[in-house]
Formats: sequence, structure tokens, C-alpha cells
Amino acid sequence: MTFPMASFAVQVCVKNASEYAEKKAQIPKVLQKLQEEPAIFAGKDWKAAAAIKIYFTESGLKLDANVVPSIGSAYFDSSHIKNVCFEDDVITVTGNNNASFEVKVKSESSVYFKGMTFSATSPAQFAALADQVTKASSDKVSSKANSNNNGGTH
Amino acid sequence: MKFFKFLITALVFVSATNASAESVAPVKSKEDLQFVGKNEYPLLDLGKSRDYVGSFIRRNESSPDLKTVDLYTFKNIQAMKMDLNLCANLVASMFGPVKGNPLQFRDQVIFKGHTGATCEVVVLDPDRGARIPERRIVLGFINLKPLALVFRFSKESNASLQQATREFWATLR
Repeated sequence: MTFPMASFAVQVCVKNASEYAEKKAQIPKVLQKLQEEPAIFAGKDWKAAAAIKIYFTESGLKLDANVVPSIGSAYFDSSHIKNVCFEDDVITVTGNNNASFEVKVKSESSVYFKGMTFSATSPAQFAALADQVTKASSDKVSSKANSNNNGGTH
Repeated sequence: MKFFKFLITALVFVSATNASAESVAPVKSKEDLQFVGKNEYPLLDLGKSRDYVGSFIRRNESSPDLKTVDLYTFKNIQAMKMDLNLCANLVASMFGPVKGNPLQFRDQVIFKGHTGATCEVVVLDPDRGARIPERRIVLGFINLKPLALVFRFSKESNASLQQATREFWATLR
């Protein structure tokens, strides 16, 4: 008698640097360098560029959110993470307030969540991305203004 | 031909609806404000509790630390009046319990606001180089509904900034 093979994913959770170091081999590559440098992922749609940064501080893991809308003020917030769990290609991040969200690992350098793909990036690359979004919007506004002006003079 | 006219009218209607799709704040203010709902942009609610509903952008405010203010509303609260106990519970639902929290909660006080007892709490982030080392939370009832405002400071606030947070609370209706 044979039984079908079933694979059971094991959930790995970390809440501080020592647990992270201990379980590093089981953590997806996309987050394997956290102790050397923060992980920054950025993405954009037509109305904003957004970046998430995950990094260690003396108090544990921290998460920053940076949003640069095409029009209006940039938004920044920061929160402490209670733990991060990994299971297959799903990362579950839980904050100290027990708010949690899931991130899907798409590749060694990109993740997907909240309906958007975020690619591993650097602060300079994110700044360039934010520039693109705000510039596209201001170009749209000035071309509309020009066409209105032209319409008025002819 | 009629069909095309209908199609064009429908397209104009849809684009006009999208262009004016601005979130509506659950509370009004005497100030000139824009309200950005939490789902309007990606990541606005990242790491925040489900009580977060969006942020006010104060159009005429010049201080960057007072320009954007986070708004929280709370459901299933039986109490009709703010007190220290309710205040502590609401802050814990927003930022997690005091015990074992890397954030430090200080100076919890009740003051008399324009709608009655109002609570103020200072939340400090002790991490070296924290980009938001201080948050000031004002919690109270507006139209009998419990609300909280969170001001995020890029450096330690002074008396004038602290006063300004209470003044903004007083504009809510």
C-alpha cells in the first residue's frame, strides 16, 4: 500500500536579531541580508510611488512606509514589528499592535502585496521613481494649462 | 448614433466621478483640509491598527510636523466619555500594549476640550536615529463618537507645537 506524498510547509518566525541569525537559512533570499543592510522595496502606480523598508534597530525589527503621491504632500510613517513569519513564499508581518499583513515573494528581488509589485531598490532609486511620478503629474498639468491657453488665444 | 452618444456620455460621467473621488472624513473641521482615506494610496495604513481611517492634510499649515495628521475612529465602544482607562485602552489598540512595547508612553493627561473630557498621550520612540521620535495623540469624543488624532514629530516637540495639536483638535466638529 502506498500513500501519496504530502509536503508540509514549516512556518518559521523571528522577532529579533538573534532568532533571525539562527534561522537565516530558512528565510527567503529576498530578506536574507537584513543584518547587513535594510531591505527596501519600491513600486508605483499612476498616482503614487511607494516604498517599504524593513530593518533592524536596537529594539528589534522596524518597518517604514514612504508614500510620494503624484500631487500633494509625501507621507512617512514608521512602526515596530512584533514578528515576521515565513511559510513557503508568504511572509506575514505582525506589528506590536497585532495588525498584520501578508507579502508574497515573487522572486529573489521582488514582492507583491496590497495589489502592487514592489522591487528591491536603493534610496536613490526610490527617489528617482518618486520623481517620475511627480514629474508625470506636473507635465500633465502644464500640458493641460498650455492647451487651455492656446485654446484661449486662437 | 444614439448608442455612441450614450457611450460618450457614460465615459464622461465615469471619468468625472473618478476625478472627484475624494475620501470623505468622518468628522468636519473649521480648517481648510484635505482628507486622504487609508485606501487612497498604497502603504498609508502599513503597520497601523484597523482603527486608522486616513489622514488630514492641513492646507494652510506651514510646520511640516503639523501638516499631516492621522485620524483613528473606534468601533464598539460603549463609553460616552473619555477617561484615563478608556484612553489607555484605545492607545493600546493603536500602538500595542504598554508592556513589552519598544515605544514609551508618557504624560497621559485628561484636559477639558470643546466637547468635554479629552485625553493626551505622548509616545516616544527610543531608537537612535528614529525618524519619528515623538508622537502626540489627542483622543476624545466628537458627535458622541470616539476619535483620535496622531501628530508625528521629526524631533522633540516644544510648547508651541504641543499647544497647536490641541488647537487643531478644537477645530473638529
